[in-house]
Amino acid sequence: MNRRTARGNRLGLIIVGVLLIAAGAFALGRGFGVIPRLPGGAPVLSAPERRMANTADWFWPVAAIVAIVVLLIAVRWLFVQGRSSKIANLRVDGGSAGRTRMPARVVTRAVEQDAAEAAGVLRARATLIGSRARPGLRLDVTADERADWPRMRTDITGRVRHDLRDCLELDRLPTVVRVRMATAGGRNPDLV
Amino acid sequence: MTTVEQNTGVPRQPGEPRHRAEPSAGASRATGGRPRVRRRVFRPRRMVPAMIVAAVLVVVSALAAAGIIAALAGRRLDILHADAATRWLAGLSWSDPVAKVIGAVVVLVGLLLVVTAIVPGRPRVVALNCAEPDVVAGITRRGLRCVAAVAAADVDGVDRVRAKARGRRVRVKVNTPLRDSADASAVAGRTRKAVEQAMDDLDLARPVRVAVRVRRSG
Repeated sequence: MNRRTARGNRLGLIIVGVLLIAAGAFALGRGFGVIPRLPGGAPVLSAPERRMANTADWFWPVAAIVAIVVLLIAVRWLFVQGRSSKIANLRVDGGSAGRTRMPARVVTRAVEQDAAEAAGVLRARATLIGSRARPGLRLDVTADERADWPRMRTDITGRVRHDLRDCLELDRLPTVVRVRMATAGGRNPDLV
Repeated sequence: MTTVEQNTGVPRQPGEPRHRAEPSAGASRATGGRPRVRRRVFRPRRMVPAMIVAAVLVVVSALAAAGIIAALAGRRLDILHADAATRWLAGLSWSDPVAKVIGAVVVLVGLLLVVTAIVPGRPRVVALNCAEPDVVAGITRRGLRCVAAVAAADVDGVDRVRAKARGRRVRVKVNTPLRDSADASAVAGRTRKAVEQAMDDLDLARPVRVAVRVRRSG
C-alpha cells in the first residue's frame, strides 16, 4: 500500500460520489417538476430520445467508447490497491564499471537485528519504501509492554536510523515507525 | 461490587507540558514537525469502499461495452436485458414514486461516497511526537490501551484493569479491594495520574483525555 493509492481512492470516491449526486438530484428535480421546461410527467426515456439513439450513427460507438474508458479506469483503480511502495533492490555506487544492485532484504535484515537490540523492542520488521534514489524506511516494532519509551525512541530514531543512513550514504531517510505491543492490549491476562 | 467513582482528567493546562494543541510552524520543527504528513501517514486508505466502487464499475462497464459492441457487430448479446430496460424506462415517468425513490437512493449513495472520501476516518495508529525530523512515529490503538492498562495495574490498591482507547480518550476501569469510598477515590486519583504520566512518557502528538472509573469489589 502506498500513500498515492490513499489519495487516489479518496479522489475516485469523490468523483463517483459527485456524479451520483448530480444524476440523482436531476432525477429528483424532474420528478418534482422543479427543473424549468422539463415536465415531471414525461417518461424517463422519451420517444425522441429513443429515436435519436437508434438513428444517429455516432451514438452507440460513442457509448461503447465511454464504457471501455470507464472499464479501463476502473480496472486500473482496482489493480493499484495492491500497489506497494516497497523497494526490492537498492542501487549501490560501484564506480564507472557499471551499476551494482543489492537486495533490500540485506539491508532490512540488518536494520531489524539492530532495532531488536533497542531497549524494550522484542521484534522489528523493516521495509524500504519510496524510490531507489530516495529510499525511506518503514519500521514495524513490537515492543515490550513495559518498554522505556523515551529510550526506545532515541534508540530507534537515533542509532538504528543513523546507522542505516550512514550505510546507505543518504542525507535524508524519511522514516515511519509503527509500534505495537506484544500482548493483546487492555486485556492482558497478567493484569485481569 | 457496588459504587462507582469517577475521575475524569482534563486535558493538560496550556503552557505546561510538551504536547499541547497543534504546534505552530516553529514549534513543529522542534517537536519533529510536519503534523500534516504525520496525520496523513496513519490515515485510513479507504481501500474497501474504493474496491467496492471500482468492482461495481468494472462489472457494469464491461457488460455495457460487451453488449454495445456485440450489437454494433450485428449480434445480440442481451446480458443487461437492454430491451426490457428500455421498455420499462419508456413507460416510467419522472414523477413516478419509483423514479423518485431511485433518484433519492442514488443521491444518498453519492453522499455516502463523498463523505467517506472527505472524512479523515479513525486511524488505527496514534501519532507520537518525535524529535527527529523526517521521522513519523505512531503506536497502535491496542498498544495505547496496553500502555494505559500496565500503568494502571502498577497503582497501589488496583487489582483488575480494563482500558479502552477511542478517539482522543483513554478510559480505564479498575477494581479495587478497598471498601472505603474515600480510599477508592484516592485510587482513582492515583490511577489517573499514573496513566497520564504513561501517556506523557509516550509523548502523543495530540494529547488524550484520561478517564478513570473505580469499582469497589471488596
